[in-house]
Amino acid sequence: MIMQAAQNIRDLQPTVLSVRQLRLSLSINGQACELIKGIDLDLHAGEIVGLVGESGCGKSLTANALLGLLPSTSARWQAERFVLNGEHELAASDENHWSRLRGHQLAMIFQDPQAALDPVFTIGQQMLRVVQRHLAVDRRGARSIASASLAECGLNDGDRILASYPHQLSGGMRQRVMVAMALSCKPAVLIADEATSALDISSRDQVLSLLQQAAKRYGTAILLISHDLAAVARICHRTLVMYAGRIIESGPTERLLSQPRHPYTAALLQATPRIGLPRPQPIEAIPGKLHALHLRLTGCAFAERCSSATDLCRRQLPALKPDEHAHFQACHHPLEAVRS
Amino acid sequence: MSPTAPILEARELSVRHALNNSNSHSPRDLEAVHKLSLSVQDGEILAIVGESGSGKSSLARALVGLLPAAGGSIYYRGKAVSTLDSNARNSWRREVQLIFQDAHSALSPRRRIQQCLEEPLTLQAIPSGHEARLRIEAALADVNLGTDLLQRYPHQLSGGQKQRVALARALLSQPALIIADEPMAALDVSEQARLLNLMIRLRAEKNITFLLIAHDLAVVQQLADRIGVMYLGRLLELAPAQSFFQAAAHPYSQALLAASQRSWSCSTENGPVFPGDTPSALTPTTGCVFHRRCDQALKHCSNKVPEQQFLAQAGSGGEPHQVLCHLYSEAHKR
Repeated sequence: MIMQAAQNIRDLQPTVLSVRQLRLSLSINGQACELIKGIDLDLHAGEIVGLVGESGCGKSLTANALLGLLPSTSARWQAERFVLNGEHELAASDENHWSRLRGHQLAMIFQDPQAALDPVFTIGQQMLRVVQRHLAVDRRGARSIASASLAECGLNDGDRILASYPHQLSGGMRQRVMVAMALSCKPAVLIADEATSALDISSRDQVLSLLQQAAKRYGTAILLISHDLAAVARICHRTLVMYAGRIIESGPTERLLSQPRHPYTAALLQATPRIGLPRPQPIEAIPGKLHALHLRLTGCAFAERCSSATDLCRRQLPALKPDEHAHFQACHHPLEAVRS
Repeated sequence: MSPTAPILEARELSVRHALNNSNSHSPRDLEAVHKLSLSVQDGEILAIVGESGSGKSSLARALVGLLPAAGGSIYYRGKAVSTLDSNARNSWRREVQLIFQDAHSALSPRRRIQQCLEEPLTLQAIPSGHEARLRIEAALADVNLGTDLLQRYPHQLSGGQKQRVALARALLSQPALIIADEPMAALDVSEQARLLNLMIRLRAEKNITFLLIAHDLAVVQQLADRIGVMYLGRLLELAPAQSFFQAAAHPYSQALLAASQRSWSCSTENGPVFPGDTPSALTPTTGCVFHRRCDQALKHCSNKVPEQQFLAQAGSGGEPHQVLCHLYSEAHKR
């Protein structure tokens, strides 16, 4: 069902964010190290796309690059194409331009709402500042937009929330405030970086439902960055798997999680505990560790941890190739696809 | 289970946090844990799950003496900790170790890993030297870390490494029980699996008992022998893992299970499993604490406090399956 929906969205809805060959280098000890090695990303209106991978694979760097948040002093990033909602050449635009986009066209939610909200201002002061910065409304108008946005996020007691300081709200409420703030200007693209990782299961459930609702109502395209495969399985139409700065597999979520082609995706799924599955002893962990992003490798970055790696894998970088189901994978020895 | 006294036991334990609210003249207390009874048996892995604000962390802190008990008492190997003399008290402190959710803030940023690990030895009057060195190496080997990181600072380690250093530090006290407060919350699946395997191995090799506090049922299913479910400071259900996952009794436990299972079913339609927010521990509730969010609530759930019920258990006649819910009372069954 969701595969059908995924296909429909990609056929019927316009692309709101299109990035080709996003590359990013950071200067570490005076040496330029390429950490993001050419990522292609298309987000359609109303589409929810998951980006998964272990910590250190470059997920958050990608998010920060997409938001133009990397310090220009140490980071160099470029893209062959970077189009947001018809605006071209964002990669080359200046901070002024970015700050007009961020919070308006391009919104974000971070992992830790406690750190993302300023402790010395009320929720109202922080929300109104965002709304007034981007929309041509007076204080009163901004206030009603803010309360309406809070109400949509299930926070009906708008006046009380607006008058509260962040520490007076629970963790789940703070994260919903962040969602409300991000959605207050009806963004075209929302980037949620581990937005549900610090939440318990009922708050996580609520935040995921809110994201789903936003995609449906306003056609907001959402990039959900997470290491929580269950969250991704629940709401994402499509999923991208990232390893060592590259996308190594992507496709419709249901297909990708039920029939992974790349050994890394399969290992990631094995390591994820699920209720109802028998208890393995020991629990399957992916052997070895993510190699340091700045090392230059000629072959596949996963080869050293992969049980089916051959000489070819160490020598030659596998390209990302599609099959007939729009399921892409970059592996010389992919797992068998189940014929349906 | 063994007939000997449990390693650690709470009887009707209450924990309160004083609130300093300048607006009100009367000082108020937030009751994080309410008359909770629980015993941890030697050699088991007991998991306590619950949403944020359910009092899990307050319970963990009270059990190691970091928070005072406002009511009830804690028994360490059959003796109330309030009556322990200073020697026995020290051995309680040493044998019951706590590791925290955020390993980064649990390690001092200005100290090298070696200094962090020497501290528990200093407390045991082991001077830094050859023996200390051997013990530290052994503890690091136990958590699959090399000695190369002894000279590093916490910020130079990954999240998983920091959590394992915290575990190594706890191991240096030669604990009998480790209380782990959401140790894997910030770790990715691969690091998480490593940490869980480590706990299983430490239990098998060193007979270390674990009280694991978590919010993810899928994680605790991997290793727990018993599961307790907390909500607003109460233990709503406590059951052997098998019995819990086959037949969770409390509507809240059922909802938690449904939520973790449903995450995997790809769907574009449904709303959240839980209606509403966790009620604040400050708002007084009458009757059952869960009745407002419960889809199976009876009339008297809103005004009568449920009593502990013991369920007849299929199969093994070991640990009881206890539940705090009116649905299982004799009166309701009739």
